[in-house]
Amino acid sequence: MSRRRLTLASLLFTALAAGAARAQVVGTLGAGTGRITYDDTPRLTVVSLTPAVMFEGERTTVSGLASFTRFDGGIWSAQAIAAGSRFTEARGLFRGELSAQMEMNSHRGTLRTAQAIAQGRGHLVGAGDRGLWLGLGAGHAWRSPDGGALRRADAGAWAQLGAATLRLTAAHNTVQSKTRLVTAAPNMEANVVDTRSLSVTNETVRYVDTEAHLSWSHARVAIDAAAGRRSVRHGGHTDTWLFGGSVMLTERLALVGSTGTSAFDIAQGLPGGRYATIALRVTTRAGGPLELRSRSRATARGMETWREQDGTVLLVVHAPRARRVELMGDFTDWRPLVMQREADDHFAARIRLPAGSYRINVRVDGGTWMAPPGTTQVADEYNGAAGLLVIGS
Amino acid sequence: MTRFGPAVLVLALVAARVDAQDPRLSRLDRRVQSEVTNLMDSARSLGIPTEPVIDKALEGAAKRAPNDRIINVVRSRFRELVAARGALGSGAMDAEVIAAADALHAGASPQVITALRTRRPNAPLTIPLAVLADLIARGVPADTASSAILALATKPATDAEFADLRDDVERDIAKGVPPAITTAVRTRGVPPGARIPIATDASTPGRGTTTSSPKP
Repeated sequence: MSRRRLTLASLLFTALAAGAARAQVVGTLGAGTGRITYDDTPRLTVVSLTPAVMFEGERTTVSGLASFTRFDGGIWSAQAIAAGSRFTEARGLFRGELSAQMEMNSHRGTLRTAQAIAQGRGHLVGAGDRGLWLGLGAGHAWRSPDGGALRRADAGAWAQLGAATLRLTAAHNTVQSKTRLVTAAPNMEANVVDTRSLSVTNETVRYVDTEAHLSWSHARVAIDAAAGRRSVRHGGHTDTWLFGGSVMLTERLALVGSTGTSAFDIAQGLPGGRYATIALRVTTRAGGPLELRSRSRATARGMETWREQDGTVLLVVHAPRARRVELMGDFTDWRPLVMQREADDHFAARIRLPAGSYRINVRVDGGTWMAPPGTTQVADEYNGAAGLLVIGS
Repeated sequence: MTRFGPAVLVLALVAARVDAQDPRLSRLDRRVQSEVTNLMDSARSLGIPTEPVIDKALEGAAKRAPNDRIINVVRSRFRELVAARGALGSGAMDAEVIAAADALHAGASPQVITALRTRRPNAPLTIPLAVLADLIARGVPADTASSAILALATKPATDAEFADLRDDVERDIAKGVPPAITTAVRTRGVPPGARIPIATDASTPGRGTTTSSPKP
């Protein structure tokens, strides 16, 4: 998996983990330099410009990314990726997802390749901090002038471990490529110099990508580490790895660096290689793009409750800068419930509660479960605390 | 058929038992599951609500507590429920038993719960007991909180008045009034919403003394 696709996958994954709780558009612009060694070339120095935009809605995520890279000797390469994903409403633990991704590459204006794939996935999300999925997809790859059909079956699992997220994925890919060869042959008949014959070669390549990916963030720092293997049926395998990180220098500016290896792109016929890059990234919205946003800053500042006329209780948590607030308590069977984002950093949930006393915990952005400020704090006997919520009639 | 008859019967009974199990038990480790199942069976036979037992186990599982810890906490919860049932007497509603167990857990004595039942024989005790547990958790000494709740029950106060006491105490504590003082003063008859003077107010520039100033 190439570095950029890895980044895009991270963005999409983070959107799922975050529950895409609010609609927002984030734009970023990165400018950097690095050293790249492709399988078929000596080490090259590159400078790159990478604009990106992402829309994150309630259940929909759409993103676009372009990259313009200048190699030694003035050679330019360009890449564009557009991706979208739409989740269904949750049915118990289950959520469906439909996604599509289109990628185009152009090197020196002559080598042009593209790939498009659509996928359907079924997710099981347990307790809001772990899940697994199964998916099937189909698409097409173009390598001028030929191409081939793509099929993909993938499975994965993820778990949030404190401030870190671990993701394990395995994808079985099939590329059915068709290559047309046009050859000129002498013709024995008079008045004809030669004839052109066309031969078509069909080839099917099957390969499996496996990867373990760990993301960790704290305050202004985020770190990604991944290790993977591409195993080609009746062929060899390529090991890949990634280590990258970012530091928010200001609210909108981050220093980003990464190094690693990428495997040969079988569908598009693009070489793999090694890379090390460093860049500055500026974002349109304070707090940085999704994967860089500081989690530790967001915390619950207070909670208020109101008894509504219809008998339900409105719980409102004030959590500035939070992107996701969950609550759980004895009234949810201690299952996390994602609160709906309201205006101005307030998150709300309406629950039918008879008069009585309840125990409640909240957590912000997948952090530690805590007693909501504003409630009476009691020891929960599990080395933590719960809030005591007294609901009148 | 005769040979396999007993085996089939056992399987059917096991299947019936599994069907009857609370599906939430599947979220628990097998050892915890077994302990919780046994405690729930005991609770049913004693007429004690089973919900708090499984609830405590689910809380532990959700917070990833070790199995031994969950089992100890669940057993302790069961004992509190038994004591709460004993203090309230027969005929208590499940919600009252749960609230009484919370109050016991917070530090109230069984005698206070029995006295409360005596003073409010025909009204639900859920809210008074919940407020009692809340006050103790806020730092009000158990004796002071118990006296305050019993005093209100003697009045007799409505559930809303118990809830008002809790809200007023919460507000006063936030302003710096010691929990025991606010509880005692509020119970003596300070109107709900009235302001209790505190020493630090006098030093606040522009506010003067507090004895006559209205609640902001």
